[in-house]
Amino acid sequence: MTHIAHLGDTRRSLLLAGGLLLGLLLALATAGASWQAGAAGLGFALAALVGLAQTCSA
Amino acid sequence: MTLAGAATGVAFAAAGAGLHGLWPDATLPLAIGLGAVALVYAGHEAGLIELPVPGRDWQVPATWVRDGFYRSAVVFGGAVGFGVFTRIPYASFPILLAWLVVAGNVWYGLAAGLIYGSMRALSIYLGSSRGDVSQLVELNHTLMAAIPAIHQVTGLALAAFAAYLLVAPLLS
Repeated sequence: MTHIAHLGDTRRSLLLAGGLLLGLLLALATAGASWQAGAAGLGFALAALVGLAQTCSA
Repeated sequence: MTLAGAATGVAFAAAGAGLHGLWPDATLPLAIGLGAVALVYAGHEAGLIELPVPGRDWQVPATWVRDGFYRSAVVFGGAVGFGVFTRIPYASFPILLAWLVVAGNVWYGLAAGLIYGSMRALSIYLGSSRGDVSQLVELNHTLMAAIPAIHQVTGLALAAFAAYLLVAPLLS
């Protein structure tokens, strides 16, 4: 049981690290361009995902 | 529901535009501050830490949706679609609203609100094309089974958003 919980924590940590890495890479790839536009693009993606998550929950 | 989502997006973005009028140089420090908050809440979305998510437990009263199918649909869809009056199960939503304030761009608010509202109403759009109850039940099971995976992807997107807000403004 403890082993399974540990695997779950590892997966969650990897998910968080993967997201942070993705954001970092996007920031580096768009360096010099408008950061507000990049943030808006990520914000739109977040809006879609939150809406999708909520439609599945309701 | 979709229009209510758009109204919420525009309202928060308009509040942000007002804030920018009072404090024109607010965008950069607020964006980096929001990035730090989003980073902490990405840990919450990933299930690593437990944090309170701002929101209310209010539900649409049954008496509001008793009279007439279309009237009830508009009242229920409108009340739920705003997103801020009922329970908010995902921390990413308040972060998104905070971003709309920080950006202070009404067009961003309108677009983000329309996207959120459209996706929020997706189950209704999909359900309207199902002919009988068994198909609706099957659709419901399919959507519910997708919750854990979508929640994880949302957590990943929030972490990416946090990292971007913390790093990108310093590189521009």
